Amino acid sequence: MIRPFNQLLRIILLLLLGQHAFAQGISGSVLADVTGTVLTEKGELLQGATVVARNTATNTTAYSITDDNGVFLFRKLIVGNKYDFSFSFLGYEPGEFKGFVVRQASQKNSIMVRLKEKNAVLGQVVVTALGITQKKASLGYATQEVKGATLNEARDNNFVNSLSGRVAGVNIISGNNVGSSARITIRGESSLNYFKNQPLVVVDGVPVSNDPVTNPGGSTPDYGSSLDELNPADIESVNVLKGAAASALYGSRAASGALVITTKSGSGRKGIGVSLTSGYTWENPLLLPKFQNSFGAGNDGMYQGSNFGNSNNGLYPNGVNEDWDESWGPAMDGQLIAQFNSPTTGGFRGADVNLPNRGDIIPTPFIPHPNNMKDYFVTGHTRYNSVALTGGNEQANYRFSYTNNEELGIVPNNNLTRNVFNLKSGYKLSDRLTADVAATYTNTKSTSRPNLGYDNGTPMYEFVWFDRSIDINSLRDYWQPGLKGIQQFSQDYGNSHDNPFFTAYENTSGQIKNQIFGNIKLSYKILDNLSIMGRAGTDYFNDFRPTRKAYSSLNNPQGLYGETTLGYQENNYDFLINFKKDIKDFHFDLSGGGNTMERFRSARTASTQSLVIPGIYNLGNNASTVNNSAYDEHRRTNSLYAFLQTDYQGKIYLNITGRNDWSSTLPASSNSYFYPSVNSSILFNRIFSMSEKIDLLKLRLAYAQAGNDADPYNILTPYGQQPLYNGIPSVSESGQLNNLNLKPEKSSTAEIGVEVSVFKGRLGLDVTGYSTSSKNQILSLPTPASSGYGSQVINAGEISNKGIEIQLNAVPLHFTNGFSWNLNINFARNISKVVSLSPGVDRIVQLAPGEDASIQAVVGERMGALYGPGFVRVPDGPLKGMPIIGTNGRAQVTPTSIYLGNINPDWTAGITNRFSYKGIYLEFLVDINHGGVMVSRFINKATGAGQLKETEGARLKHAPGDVYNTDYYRDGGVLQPDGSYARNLEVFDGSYSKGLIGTGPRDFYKRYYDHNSEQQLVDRSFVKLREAKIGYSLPKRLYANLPIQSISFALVGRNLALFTKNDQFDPETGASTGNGLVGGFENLSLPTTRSFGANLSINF
Amino acid sequence: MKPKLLIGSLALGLLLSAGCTKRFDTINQNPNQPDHISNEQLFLPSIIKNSVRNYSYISQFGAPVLGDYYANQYNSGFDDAFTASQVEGSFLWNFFGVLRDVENYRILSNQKGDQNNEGVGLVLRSWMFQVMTDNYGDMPYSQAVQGKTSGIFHPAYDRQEDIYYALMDSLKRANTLLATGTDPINSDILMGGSALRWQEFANSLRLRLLMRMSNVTGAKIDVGAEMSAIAGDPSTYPVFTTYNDQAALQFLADNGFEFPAYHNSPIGDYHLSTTLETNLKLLNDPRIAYFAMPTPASLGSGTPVYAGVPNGIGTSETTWNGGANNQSQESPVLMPVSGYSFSSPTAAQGMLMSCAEVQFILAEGKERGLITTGSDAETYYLKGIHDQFSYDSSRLALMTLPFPADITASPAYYTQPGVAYTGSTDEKLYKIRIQRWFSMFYTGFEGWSEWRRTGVPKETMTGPSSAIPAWPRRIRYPLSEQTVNTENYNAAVAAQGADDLLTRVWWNK
Repeated sequence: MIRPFNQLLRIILLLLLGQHAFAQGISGSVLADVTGTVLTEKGELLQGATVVARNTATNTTAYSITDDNGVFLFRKLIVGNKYDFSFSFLGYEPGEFKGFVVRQASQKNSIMVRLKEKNAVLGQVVVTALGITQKKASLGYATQEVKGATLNEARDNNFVNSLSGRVAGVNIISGNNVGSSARITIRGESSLNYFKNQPLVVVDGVPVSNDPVTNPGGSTPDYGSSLDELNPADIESVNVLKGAAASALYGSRAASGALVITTKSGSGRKGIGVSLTSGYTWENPLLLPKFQNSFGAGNDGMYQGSNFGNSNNGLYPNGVNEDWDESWGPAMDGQLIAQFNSPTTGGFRGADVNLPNRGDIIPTPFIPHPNNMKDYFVTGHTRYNSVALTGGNEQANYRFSYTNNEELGIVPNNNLTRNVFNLKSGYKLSDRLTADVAATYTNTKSTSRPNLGYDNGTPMYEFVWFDRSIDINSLRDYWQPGLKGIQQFSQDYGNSHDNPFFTAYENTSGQIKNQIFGNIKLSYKILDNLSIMGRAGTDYFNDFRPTRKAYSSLNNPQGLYGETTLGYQENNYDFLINFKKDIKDFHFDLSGGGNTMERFRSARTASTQSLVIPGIYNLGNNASTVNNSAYDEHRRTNSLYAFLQTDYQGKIYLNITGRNDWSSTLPASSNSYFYPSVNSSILFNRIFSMSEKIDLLKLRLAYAQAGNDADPYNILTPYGQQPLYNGIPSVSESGQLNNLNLKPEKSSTAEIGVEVSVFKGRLGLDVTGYSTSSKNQILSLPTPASSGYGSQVINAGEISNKGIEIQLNAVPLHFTNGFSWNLNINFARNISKVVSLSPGVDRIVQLAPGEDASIQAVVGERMGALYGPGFVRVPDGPLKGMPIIGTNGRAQVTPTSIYLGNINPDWTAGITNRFSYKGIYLEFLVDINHGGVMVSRFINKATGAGQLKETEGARLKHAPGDVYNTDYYRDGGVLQPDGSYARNLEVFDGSYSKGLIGTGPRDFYKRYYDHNSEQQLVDRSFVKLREAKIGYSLPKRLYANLPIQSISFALVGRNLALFTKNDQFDPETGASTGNGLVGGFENLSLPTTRSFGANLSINF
Repeated sequence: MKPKLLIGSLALGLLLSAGCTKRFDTINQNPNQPDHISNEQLFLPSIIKNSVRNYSYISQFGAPVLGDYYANQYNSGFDDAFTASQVEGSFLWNFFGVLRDVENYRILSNQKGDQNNEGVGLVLRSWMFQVMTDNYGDMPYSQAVQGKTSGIFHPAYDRQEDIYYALMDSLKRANTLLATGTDPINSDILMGGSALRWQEFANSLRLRLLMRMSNVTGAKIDVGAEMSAIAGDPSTYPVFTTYNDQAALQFLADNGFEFPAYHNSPIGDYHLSTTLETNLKLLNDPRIAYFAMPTPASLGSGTPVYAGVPNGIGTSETTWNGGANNQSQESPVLMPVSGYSFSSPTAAQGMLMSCAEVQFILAEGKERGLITTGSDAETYYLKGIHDQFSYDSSRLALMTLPFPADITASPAYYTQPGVAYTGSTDEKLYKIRIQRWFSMFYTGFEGWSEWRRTGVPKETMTGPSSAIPAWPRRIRYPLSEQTVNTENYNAAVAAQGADDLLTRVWWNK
């Protein structure tokens, strides 16, 4: 800990101690001890209740806390004086004992009180910033909690996905393969840097990385983030702090909200308990694209399949025509054609072209293979086993768990093994000193994670170019005979395609990641109302990512091996002093503290582009030079903060916070920044006497600011070292001009909310409205290349977000026989707006992870605006609005980008219904997104390549002999010499009439989609049955004689049904970019999956 | 009491802020990359490598269709690849990224009084602006690449005419600096550290600029006098005299330094154009084996057949002449690793300007009477052909091809009517220009630029799949200029004419 903190601590202690001394007895008086017990109404002992004794004569107060036996003790009270005692405990109504006269020490001075349990609604407590437990009633801002049990009943191994649909205002975009990442945004996007919009994630008070980790090694799988590796079974609760108000105390990093995760502990339990959780789930693609099955490989009706002619330096020149990886060939009528998998007279296969004795090909029937894609994907499996030991006594409690998780993805050979060890322990070193330790070790291993995106070897890319006449099953044996490890067997040697099974099994991207995170916390109760806490936490990982390519890989005929090692460590040291005091009807709770955060990142890559010995993946086995690169990063933030919680009779709460950050990433002149927040909760049901039926009527008001700093090294512009050219070094200046005058970002939030709960919690409604504004954004502003720099780091821009969130909880039915129906609905609508950018700049291209379309921030528009080329349309006249067909028969595409829609939904909603009866429950979660668009590159490319169902319709309308010899006419307007437009319509009914300007079938489809983002648009609205589960807790009588406390069993399913407009893919798909997932783009992403499974849980 | 405490602690915190920022300056010091460079020569290899590899990549893909060397159905419709959003990387606008380093190099050399290095910087900068302005016409020049030095982030456009004059001044200055400079040119991966070769490049490039503007009326300089001065005084104005001196970057076998399409080529998409096929076959030019592969059908037969495809026919390209089996693909020296086992990462060079081009410029200048000094036109003409043949042979000789590919010219080649320097001035000029067009293969957009100036080869014309009615005369400005340099862009369009493919640049009006 750094020195200033110690000094501050000393000063605060002095102030507080003086205060307390004043509250104690006066010298000369006769003194005696007072003791007592605090019980619940049922007679249970209450441990940890706060007792305040106020001397009515001197108006001084003293504090005590009840011990494990519910006993409190006040020493040295003044005999004969009248004291008012008050008792409080979270979740209970406060109690009072007024006018107690202290008797002589020889007489009995004891008190017993019973506290009444509060109604459930008011009693709720939540964990807020810095791990502080607060009464929910006292909060002036919106939070929403998801219980660990909810995450575990229908477990998704990335627990983030389980939040989808459960929390109003939280949006999740998921990667679709095993162990992949998930993008979380709360209340929309407030930063122009698309990847900066995710919330801070805090586990047991210590931040954990959810930053997507770029892969400098070059391969393109989605490796997930540390957050995604949290073990769902270890989570006690996830509390979502939605706005800056909620997260003001976390500072910079929580400007986009925070997920506060509390892990399970062993407290509140005596003796040893064991719980076992096991699960098994199966996964299958939820929705696959629809293909045509009429026309096979080739072009213009001519078969062009495997290009034997080019292979082996022309050894088989008499093979077939040059390859063509599109299905614009002849109709597949079973005609005999020499194909890659046709047998040969030498007893081999057609494409065994490296064998000198292959022989001549014996042609085989040319037929469709409708299930190519289905046959490629396999059923995914997840096996999950977790055991947890918990225990405790008066001094200590602990929970230890071990989890093993084995996953196989739907892409062949994709696998992941995860082992998680988790320990959480608390120990009372003395009455006043408590130590807590939490540690998690996670080991993640995968030998193969699929590459993603539009590139050779990614599964969906290969299916764009996978002709309908190719039998995928004949590619499973992917080596040429006798050339195992040296030469693959492929459907297509010349056109940039590897055999997909060769890719899956030989060209792999693996991972071994070891992560440790945890913290040590010491809490010392200096006085009954004064405590201090110190905590040190770390999040550390080492992520090793080997990449392999076998001999005969396209572009790497000599193979490839690369290693990337990523290092990450974030250390947090913090302290917090807390002081409580009641003055008359006011309760004050004042805290002050500080934090030092230090983060290190590193990356090391090495690769060789050709191997000496095939199949040996080691950097020593290099036939050319080994390329190396390295990156290191270090940052530090120091913070001081204070917060005051005060309330008047539990009716009105006021919370004030202030925080100052000092960040190493900003210039010295502006690296210190302060931000305050204030929020209030007003409980009308307590202020006014209201009907018994109203449990809660609360108004929340909040205003907060938060600052934010830059990424490291954004002040001076660096010169990057270039690879040695023939041993000669060189440098090149960065194309991003950095900024010596950066200032911190500033965001502010105003929020108002109303909570109502009636009929003893049977019906509850929570409505929140908010408005946020983010200014001075640190962004890399694109500049004209002609300035010499592609971008310039500046402070600019203002983004506003306004929205509403509604949560409705109801118990529509509840019978005394135990049957109940719980209904939970949440709804959110967020509208973000770009208020300003930079002087003279009215739009910024944020991202373009696909082909032509981009996400742009445009002044006056919503964030998430999608732009791209679209149709040029007839400006007026009877055909107004129709696409213009040009003189080459193609729809004309705008030379510049036009507005296509917004990628963000207009509103989202989640509906959960849970029916329970005794030990049985049945639950459904329906997730709804309304509005939003996205572009699909798969649909674009696979249509252009003649693979999709759509490309069959027009071809089948033409007579078999005319399929490729006649023109096809796109409906639209053709410019006439007089300036008017005539319709280019082809009519196929009895009186066939053709259009005006036609093209061939390939142009007809390809040119309609290619570089025309408007035609590639897909509606993002969907309704999804996110979760369905049925569970049963076996009655105790069945195992009464066994040392088992409970057994429960559940059948679960996730993503079971999808209702959406397009029939090709799930609109929840995002594009994987290496920097993280991007919504609004399908960029050859894997299909999403539907999963079914069973879970068993046993507690001993 | 409590608010005091709150304020007190915060005030204390602020007081202690100096302690809170201890070591921040060292923490935020980038440990990976320097933020200051004092040796200017560290910039030179990256400038050359980054610009030439980019240039060579484009020379193989977009440019050969514009120059009508190769046919490609995706490019010769002049729509997709020619839209403003595709332009930035495909038509050399991204040279501005390299020019950033050239400015660092040039300014640092100037400050240190390193004349030779400053001269090299001027030559490289002039070359990059020349190839860019020939594509676009008017463009940012005098205010360009000054984001850091002058804070100009929205540079105004200069007229092409003014850019031309400024470039020629730069090249003159470079020639002077390089003639008297004494500082070593280390790390020179293009010219081997020879100030003389850079001087030759400077003057050769000036000849290129002069010839290109030679048809302009009302020019502010006397093109003939300038050319004559160079041709008549080789000791003051040396130019390339052999292919060994010319500006061509030798690639390396290492990944990342090989010829840029070696690992990245959609072979099959590019074929020999009928224009190149026709003109080579007309002269029985054996270099057809240098320009293209034998057809796949003839590959194993021992008697190579070369057959071209016309540009502008769209998807019919795939079935032309019975399909790809009967169509010649790209030059063997440009074959990617995934194509043929004989492919070489180093056989092709990054060609900026050849000796042959200089000879043909001098021949034309002489023939047109622009140049009044030096040798006679035929001498330059024949030297150009000879030198180019020698160069092409030297590259092919680096490969072991499994099919016959002898490209030595027989004596009869030079005496045949289509080559012999005979006939009318127009006929002679056509011969010079067609040979120059052959020699400018794989040299960026130079072949296309010369077609724009001279109309040679005469066979170049649009086909049915073309989205525009005539062969392009210019390239659109990149989309980024419209979106982030809007005002200057609009002013440039108003001055030069519509931002389309048919507006002619200044020297081509």
